Amino acid sequence: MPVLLVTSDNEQFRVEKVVAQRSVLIKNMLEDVGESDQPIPLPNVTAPVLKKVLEYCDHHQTDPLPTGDEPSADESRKRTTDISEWDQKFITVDQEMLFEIILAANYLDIKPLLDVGCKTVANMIKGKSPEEIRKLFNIVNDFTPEEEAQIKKENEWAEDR
Amino acid sequence: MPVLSLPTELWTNIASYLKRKDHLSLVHVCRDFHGIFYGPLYSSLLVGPRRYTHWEPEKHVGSSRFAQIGPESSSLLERLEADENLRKTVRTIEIMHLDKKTIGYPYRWEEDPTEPLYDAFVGDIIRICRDCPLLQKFTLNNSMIQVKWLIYLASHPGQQLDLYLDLVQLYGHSGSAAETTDYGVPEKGPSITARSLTSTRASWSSAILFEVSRLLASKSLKVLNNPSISDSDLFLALNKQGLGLTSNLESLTVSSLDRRAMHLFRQLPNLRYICALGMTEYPSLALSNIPPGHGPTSVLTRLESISIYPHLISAFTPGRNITSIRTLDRLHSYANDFVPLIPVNAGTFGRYFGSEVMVRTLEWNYCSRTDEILNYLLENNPGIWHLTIIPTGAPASQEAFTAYLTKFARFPELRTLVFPTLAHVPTPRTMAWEIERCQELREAGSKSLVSISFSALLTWTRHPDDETLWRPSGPGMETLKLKLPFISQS
Repeated sequence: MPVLLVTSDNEQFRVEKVVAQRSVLIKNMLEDVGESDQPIPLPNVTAPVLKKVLEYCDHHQTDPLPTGDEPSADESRKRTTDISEWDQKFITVDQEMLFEIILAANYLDIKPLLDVGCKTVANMIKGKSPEEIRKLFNIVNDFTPEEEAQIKKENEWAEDR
Repeated sequence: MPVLSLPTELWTNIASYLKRKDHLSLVHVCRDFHGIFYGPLYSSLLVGPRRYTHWEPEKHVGSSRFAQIGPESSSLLERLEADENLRKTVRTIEIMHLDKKTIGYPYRWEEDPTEPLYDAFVGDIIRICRDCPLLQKFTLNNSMIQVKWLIYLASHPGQQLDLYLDLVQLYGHSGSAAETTDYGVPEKGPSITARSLTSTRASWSSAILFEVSRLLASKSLKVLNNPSISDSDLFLALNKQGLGLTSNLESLTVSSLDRRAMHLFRQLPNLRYICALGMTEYPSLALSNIPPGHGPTSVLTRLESISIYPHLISAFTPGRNITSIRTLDRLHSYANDFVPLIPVNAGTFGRYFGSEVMVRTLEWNYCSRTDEILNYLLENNPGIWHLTIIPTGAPASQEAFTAYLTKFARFPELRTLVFPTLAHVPTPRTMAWEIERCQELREAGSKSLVSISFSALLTWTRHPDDETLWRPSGPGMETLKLKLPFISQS
């Protein structure tokens, strides 16, 4: 049975239940509402982003759902940033869309997609100097020279040895 | 969309995929990032003297209690000591080169023959570490430490501490438990809550066994990976804690197994996994020394998984539900004597390698007799799920390889197969050939196969719902992309 999703910009998406249920948020909503053809409003997601997210859900509709006993963030120090080939192609988008997808995956509670997004940002940061990171994300350095010197001194222990 | 529109928790998630070096860059970017990534940076600390840089300790000694460990680490330790909130961010600490020799100059440790100065110095550092309430992992490398400090650290209230020691010289004597009162450690010692202790190349003298025994006797210790301690030392250590003690230890790695092993195993009734592959002595144990897993003299009744030389497999399997065996054909011998390989056949093991149940996982390294093992499995343990055979000798020809494949195809439940016999560097042609072999194996009988490696360079995996699509991964993919950039687009 298809489900009707309505985005913040009032566009409607009719998708198969099995696809929509990749989102734990939607899955829980459907369970709460029961059998109903009422549209589900998604006030935090725009149409272009939802289209992209649904493309992911559609491709991964048969994956086993996360069980919830994944290692916590603290145990994840050795987490790899490997991304499968399809996901990598999927997430090759401009930066704005990438952050929108991450926010949407977080809001819709689609953990595997959130992980793909976060890994992608991590891969963008990896190995870059502070100046390169500023350029990457268009950030202005708002430290005073004194603050900068202080931070450098304070964190010398973490430098390569 | 500005980058800072992501909430902090999502940045923290991103930070979890990055290493210290990147966290360090991130705190330098801007004030907001400093606030966000300060926590991730300080969740994993590195302490120890920096090498190969010019540093004149004599200028600093006197300015800091920790001066000898270098200016960077000493200021970090002082900040940690003073700042409770900073200590709350710490999850892992790695200390390296905490050693009299390395950090000696210009502190004249040689005028400190019984090491009270050095010991107090080490103790101050360890106390700061233990005062980090959320500490989960503590690693000590290339260091020299009284074992009492280890015990003190292992009494961390967090319950979940994992201790890793590499190249650590442990010293101290049985009287040291009393001495610790001088440093504010209770005389009887706190209860030890460490979850695991892994030590490699650490020196244990019998004099420190009293302290080690407290670790062993700890109810919380589940994993002891300690290839440098022999089972007789373990036995002595446990006995010092009094008879009737039963440890909760579930996983144990030892360097030797001798005749006292049986007594030791009686005191470790919860063991599920034993590894004795680093064993240096042979033959140290006769098969008959280990009682079976059932009957009035039973020991190790919960054992499920063993990593052990082939000739000892049948000492550990009888009467037990062993489902996982890891072994290798290269035997170490003290006297460099020739050690004959025991034959792998029904006469040696009976069925299931002597276990009560089908062995599901078998890993055979340095294997010099693939046929013998495959024939045994086909006859006596056909329900294998995970099979790894790493052969010695020259790479197999395609003809010989194909002959092996017909045998693998006769394991109907096989799920993963690691048989790295081919030495070719991946090219589109070899990859197409390998995919064909993967499909052939499934069509010929091993329907459940989801992961196959024919070489050390590539692993083929298939989603269980996907009938024919095999995806390559492994170091070979990088080579392939470098050589043939067009492949990744095709």
